[in-house]
Amino acid sequence: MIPLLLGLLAAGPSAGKVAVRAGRIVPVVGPEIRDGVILIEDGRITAVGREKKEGTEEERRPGEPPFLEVPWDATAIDASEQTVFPGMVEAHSFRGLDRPNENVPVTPFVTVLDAIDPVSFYFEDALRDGITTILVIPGNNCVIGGQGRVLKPYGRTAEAMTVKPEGGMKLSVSPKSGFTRLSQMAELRKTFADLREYRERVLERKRDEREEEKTKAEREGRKSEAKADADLVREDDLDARKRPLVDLVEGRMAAFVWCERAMDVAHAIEVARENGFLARTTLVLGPEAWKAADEIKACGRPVVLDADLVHLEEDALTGEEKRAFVPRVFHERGIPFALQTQASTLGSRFLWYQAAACVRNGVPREAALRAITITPAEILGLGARLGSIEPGKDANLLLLTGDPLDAQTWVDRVILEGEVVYERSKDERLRRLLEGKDAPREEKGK
Amino acid sequence: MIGALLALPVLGSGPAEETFTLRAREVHTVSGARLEDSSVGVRDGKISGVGRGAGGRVLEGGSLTPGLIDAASTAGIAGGSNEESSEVAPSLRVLDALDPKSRAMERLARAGVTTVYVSPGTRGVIGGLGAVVKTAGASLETRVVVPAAALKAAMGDDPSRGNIPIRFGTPTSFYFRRPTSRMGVVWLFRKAFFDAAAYRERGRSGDEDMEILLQVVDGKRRLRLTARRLNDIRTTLRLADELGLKVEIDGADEAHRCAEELAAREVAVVAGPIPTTPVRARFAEVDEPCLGNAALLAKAGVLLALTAGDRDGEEALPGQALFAMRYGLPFDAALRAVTLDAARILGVESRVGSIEEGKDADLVLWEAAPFASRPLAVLIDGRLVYDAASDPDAAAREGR
Repeated sequence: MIPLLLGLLAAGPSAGKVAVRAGRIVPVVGPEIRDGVILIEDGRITAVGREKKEGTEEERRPGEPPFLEVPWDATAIDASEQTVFPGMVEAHSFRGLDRPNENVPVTPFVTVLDAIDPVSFYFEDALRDGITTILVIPGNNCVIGGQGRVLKPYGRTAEAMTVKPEGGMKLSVSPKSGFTRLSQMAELRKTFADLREYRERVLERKRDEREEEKTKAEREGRKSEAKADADLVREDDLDARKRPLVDLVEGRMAAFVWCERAMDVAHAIEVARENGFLARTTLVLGPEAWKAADEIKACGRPVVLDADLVHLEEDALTGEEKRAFVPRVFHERGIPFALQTQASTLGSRFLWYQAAACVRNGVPREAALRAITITPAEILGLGARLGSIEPGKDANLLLLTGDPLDAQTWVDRVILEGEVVYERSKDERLRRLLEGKDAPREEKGK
Repeated sequence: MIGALLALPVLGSGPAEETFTLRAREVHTVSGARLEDSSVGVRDGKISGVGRGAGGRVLEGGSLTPGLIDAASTAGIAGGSNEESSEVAPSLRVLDALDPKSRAMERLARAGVTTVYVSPGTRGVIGGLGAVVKTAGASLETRVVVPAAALKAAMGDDPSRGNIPIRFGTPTSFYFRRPTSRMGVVWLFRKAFFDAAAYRERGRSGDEDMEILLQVVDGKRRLRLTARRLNDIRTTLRLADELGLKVEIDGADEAHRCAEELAAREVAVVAGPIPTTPVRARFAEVDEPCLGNAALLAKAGVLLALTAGDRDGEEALPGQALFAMRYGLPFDAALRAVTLDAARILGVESRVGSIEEGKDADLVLWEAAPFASRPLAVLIDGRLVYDAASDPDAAAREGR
């Protein structure tokens, strides 16, 4: 494990200027480009287009990608036989954690930072399978589970892996183990009621202090600065354990609310609306929750779908099996949706496979591609940085052996912020998985 | 809203045999050449023409393959698949436990799997007789291809796991009689065949268990062994030598580690299901899961079939073939492993497994490439058992 990681870490040229020559660019946003070039500087994409050939006077027609000159000092990466696709984004995962949940039901003050295992197989596999950004967040077995963190699956410490420290707060309206739906909702309401009371108490104290200060200043003949109520309470005045929830209700933190079933959706929307964080809420749905698609549409918030894309149930009356392909329901209603992975089945541990299953089941290709790139990036508040191949975005690129949704395609190389951080040709563990334990090893030059 | 969740067409009670012409851009006959832009005719439940239609109803798609065959399925067994009252029970028949209306069989038919070998489970050392059946049809009787097929046995951990060793006193439970180690499993297997030999020597008759074991000894009945680890596979081969048996192996997770030997000895292997995650702890029984198992076996020249075991949905047989290809198995080999070669291993290749005139009309019409796209139509014995066009929610299909 460790030598493998070292091998991965050692790969690749340094950042700076990089030019990727690509046989095909699938930028997700905008049209595909054949024989294109992507220019990168200091980890960011600076331009995407076609390479200007010396001595030719090709005219750029309107709507076509621009002609670009590759800087003489750029490190060239040849992917002229390959397809370049943005690094995929997973908008919700509790894999890669030591354990996904605390036993205590309300723990807004805990953060996954303390439970991330940088050498877990999940991160190694994520990189190998083309996932370059992941929101790692506490699991669903909670009332208020704690704070997530947006990571890249590369680096030896949680800090080094961090893309965005403020990932969002995990909440659940579906009962935590040992809870019923009644006690779950009661616990949530009580938590927010206590918070309101606490904040009022703090404000009251600060008002008293203001009054005192005012009186004192008058006595001493000074002029006092009377702050407005809204500016009165500073961060230091709050109990550190309460601060994350204050951030949540004041709109500084995103919320990810787990709704196992359709009946939970209305509760999730109610809790979020009453406490002022609906505008920053993403619903994390169980397979059956698609039945609340109309309510979700009305609240205007995006969703992260369960890794099981098919919802099967038996008709209570006829005994017939009924089947719904969940992403199609959300696509048809125009609700932004992101796909996620799970470890337990053959295909669903790959984001590309999840998107391919969508296409096979009647979701348009473009919508399926968005659900593993730009939509999850937007859910994480990183839409301006990730999820597509456009100038200004982070240079997180996958160099693929074929179409991103083809089951026979492999991630050949991964470029993360302009650096090659994964090469399939150097992936010893993958080779061993494919060729078996007793496969003769090639002697690597030392 | 409700429209998205509609009842699926009921299988098995569909229309009777009709005449069909199936057209596809690619017809994979498996036994012969691949035909481009060709037709296959179906009449009276059989394939009536290859390269020419038969008139009747026309179905069109991207590719056409024989119906898929799972050579080690667990589908359709009602209740337990292990008879726990005896660890050696050759005369038990899995057919007696099959539920013709089982949901699992319905799902298989929809996914394009038309024939399965179903067998008793792996808790017995010798579990009983498997059966080869179609996954849909007018009745269970018409669906049966081989009512008493290969004898099922198991090596290694499965028959001994969780059994209680005798420590003191008199055994009070039948669990006490069961083997508690690999040694005990092998001993019971060997003893069964010694008993059969003694039975023959003494000129006895009338014991069905013994008769079945003797059929295996005489090469008149196939013997299917589940052996997962390398040492269990080697034990199987050693027993086969010692007792003069011809065996075929399923489970076979580590078969790639002795692929050449299996090929040289002409031992057929039913590989799969493919490990879902390459994390070792999930496969404690196996030293290290190998995603390329099927590919390495095929490369060595082993007669190979794939199985999805009890897996469903995306992990059903087409998914197994798709991922076997991802992990190195060439398309042609993958297709053979779920059609004709599976039929050979089951001894039913005269009826199913390829698109040839006179064979059973078990066919899968795919939207585009086999395995990677969805089935548009599935025929079993000339009956349309799945039709995407009449699926009330055609886009809400099994999400493989």
